[in-house]
Amino acid sequence: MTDTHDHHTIEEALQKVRAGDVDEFEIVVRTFERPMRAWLAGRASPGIDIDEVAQRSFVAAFTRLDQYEPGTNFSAWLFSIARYQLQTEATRIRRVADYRSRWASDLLTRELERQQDEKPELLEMRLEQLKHCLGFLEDSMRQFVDWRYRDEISLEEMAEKSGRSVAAIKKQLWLLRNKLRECVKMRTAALE
Amino acid sequence: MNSDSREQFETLWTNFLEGELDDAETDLLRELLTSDEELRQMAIELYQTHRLLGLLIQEESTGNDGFIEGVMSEVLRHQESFDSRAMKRVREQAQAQSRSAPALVRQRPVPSTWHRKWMTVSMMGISLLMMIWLAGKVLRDDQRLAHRGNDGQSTTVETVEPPVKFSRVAKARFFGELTPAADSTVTLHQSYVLMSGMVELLFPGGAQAIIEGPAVFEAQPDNCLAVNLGRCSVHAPDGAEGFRVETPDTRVVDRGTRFTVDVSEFNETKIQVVEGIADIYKSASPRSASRGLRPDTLNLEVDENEFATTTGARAEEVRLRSKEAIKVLAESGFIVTPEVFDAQRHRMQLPDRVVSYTATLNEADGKSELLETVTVQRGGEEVTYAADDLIPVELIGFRVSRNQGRFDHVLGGEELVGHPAQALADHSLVTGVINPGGSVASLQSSPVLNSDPENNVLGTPGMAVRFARPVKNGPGPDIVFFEIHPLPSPADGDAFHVSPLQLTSGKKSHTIREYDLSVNSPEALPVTRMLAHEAERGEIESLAALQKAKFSLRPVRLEYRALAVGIDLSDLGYAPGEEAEGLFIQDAEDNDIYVDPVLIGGLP
Repeated sequence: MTDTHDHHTIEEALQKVRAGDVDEFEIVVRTFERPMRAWLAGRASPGIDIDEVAQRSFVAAFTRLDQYEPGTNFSAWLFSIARYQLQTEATRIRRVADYRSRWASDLLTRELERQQDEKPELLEMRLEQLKHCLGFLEDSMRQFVDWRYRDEISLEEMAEKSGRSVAAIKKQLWLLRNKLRECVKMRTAALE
Repeated sequence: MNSDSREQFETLWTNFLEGELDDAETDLLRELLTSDEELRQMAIELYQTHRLLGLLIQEESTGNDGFIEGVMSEVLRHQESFDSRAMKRVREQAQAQSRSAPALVRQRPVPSTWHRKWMTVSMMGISLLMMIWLAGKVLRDDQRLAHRGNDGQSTTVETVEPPVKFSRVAKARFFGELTPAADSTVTLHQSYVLMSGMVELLFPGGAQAIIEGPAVFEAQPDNCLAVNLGRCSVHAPDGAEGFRVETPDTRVVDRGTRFTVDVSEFNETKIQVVEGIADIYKSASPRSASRGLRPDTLNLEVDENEFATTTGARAEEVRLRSKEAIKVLAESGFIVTPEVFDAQRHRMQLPDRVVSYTATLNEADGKSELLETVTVQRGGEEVTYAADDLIPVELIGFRVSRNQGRFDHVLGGEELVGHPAQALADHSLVTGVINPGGSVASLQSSPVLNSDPENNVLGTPGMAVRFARPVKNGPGPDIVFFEIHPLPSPADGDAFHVSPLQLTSGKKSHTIREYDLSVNSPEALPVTRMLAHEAERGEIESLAALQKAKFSLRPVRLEYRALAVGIDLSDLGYAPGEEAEGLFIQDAEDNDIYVDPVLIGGLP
């Protein structure tokens, strides 16, 4: 995730933070923000706000910085904190979820945890591949991505805007996600 | 995977990701995924695609600067925590060593002044509140120490979420701290001891909880209220589902509902659902038997297995629906028994009352002078009235009830302007007719207003006022009454009796011993400098004598606040819609300090 150059940069920044230059922590955040959020996005069960967990993880790393041993693997240390934070949030969500929704959370958590050996870099790579795949989408399909993930409008509104039924919109979303899934899978396999 | 199951999966998984899966579909999807490894893998990949898409589009739309700024803002907020961390660790180590000797845990330092207070408080109820509060404090400290992981790294962090607020406050008095202002922030993890009155808390998720004193409670992160003693009425509107109330023995999880939780000092928790659904679980804390608050939700060491996967599958999990009530006794096991549902126990809102007021500020000292507006909750609705809209009063009777010593009867400027009685009719909070006569007992018959001492006709001690036009009995308070009260003072405000001018046809006196805005209320504003008009002859036996009295002026040096209370004509026996011409007011003679009215106004 971080090359040698980055490693030195991070260690230097951490040293300055310890000396009282808190602004240097921004270097840490900028370096790990994307891999952290990508990792969380691929690991978080439903209902979890990944940005919230990522933010808590960075803040926890900052406040516990005296526990990090300089020169060791900061990335691994940071992600171990994030893993704890994710577990905590998953526990909270699970407790407040009712039975019907809890099973899905449980199932996904179990399945996602089975992949825990996956390195955080892998999810960042998938995120990058997804970006490429998104670029190949036809405009008509891309429109649904924007409606669903950028504008966050309801299925009914999408149906109204596109002149289709809600059932057709659901089908379209299925096709869209499946197409992107297959594209990411293919590109990732080619790179591995 | 056959084509049928694939098609079913397409529909169901899309419904799941869109949040539209109904109960029957949930069961079907679970069966499909349980039996088909290939489908499970596909589900995971689709789910990850779905989450990564969300992240990618967010990056495209807003970049990552917002996130980084947010993190850095929080980091800076925690800078003090970082700086003091070394010292904190030293303290924690010292405390951990202390904890190795059990007797020392009970001797955990308690602020000495509080300890002294506790030792001297004679009322059993107060002692009980304090004991519970202290127990919760010690246990929370222990729990925070216990959060450290085996590797020496703490697994706890402070949460980042909008604050919990005291959204409304009604006659609330806390032990050991000032009454919070409405809309002020609740300190997370702080145990509040509400001695009397009520507060309404608003949580970030939208849930509202009304807590009635006496109560011991604590707001926790992630939309959670811990109640160690007392009653709370919760309303979780749409979107606030999942709000939790933790008691020493139970966890009540809201599913979109109104419910009431009542924790007694005898380890009993009564829970009832007014509408909607709530799930009740046995508390997660192994310390529940000793009445400590449960560990906060970020503690990773909480035993997951204490919660069954199916609601209702174990005795420790109960789902309550509308109009259902239970009692939980957790001293030996977790005993749940049905309870009689009582809608009256659920409080939908704080009582009608004077909520706040605004006033002009004196240029010299920046303190309040002329009333501008007053906000009153009437029939559950908060209404703000301009001072000009209030129905003013005219003083029509006055008599003191003691005739010795120095006595001030009028407040005002350096010179009396016109009729002394007019000092009560203006908008000023520092002019009034004060120290009327009183009686320990309230009136049982109509007061005598036409005092004529020369003909041996003595009026009833007190003061009579007539409204410029009749005041109609509407919902909640119909009249606002302001008095000034000094700081410091042994009482929260001067008690008084209020009666109709004629005690006929079901009319009655009513005694007001508590002000809506008392000395303890931040909404009771400090008033500007006043001059007291001291009657040279202390005994004022009639309104005529007050008008003719010679006064000497003296400045009032103590700091005073303007207190306010609403008077509901229903309490005086008026029927809804019935009109009152005036009021008779007497001090309740419960102490040496007499009531000091500065403004009385009818609500239009």
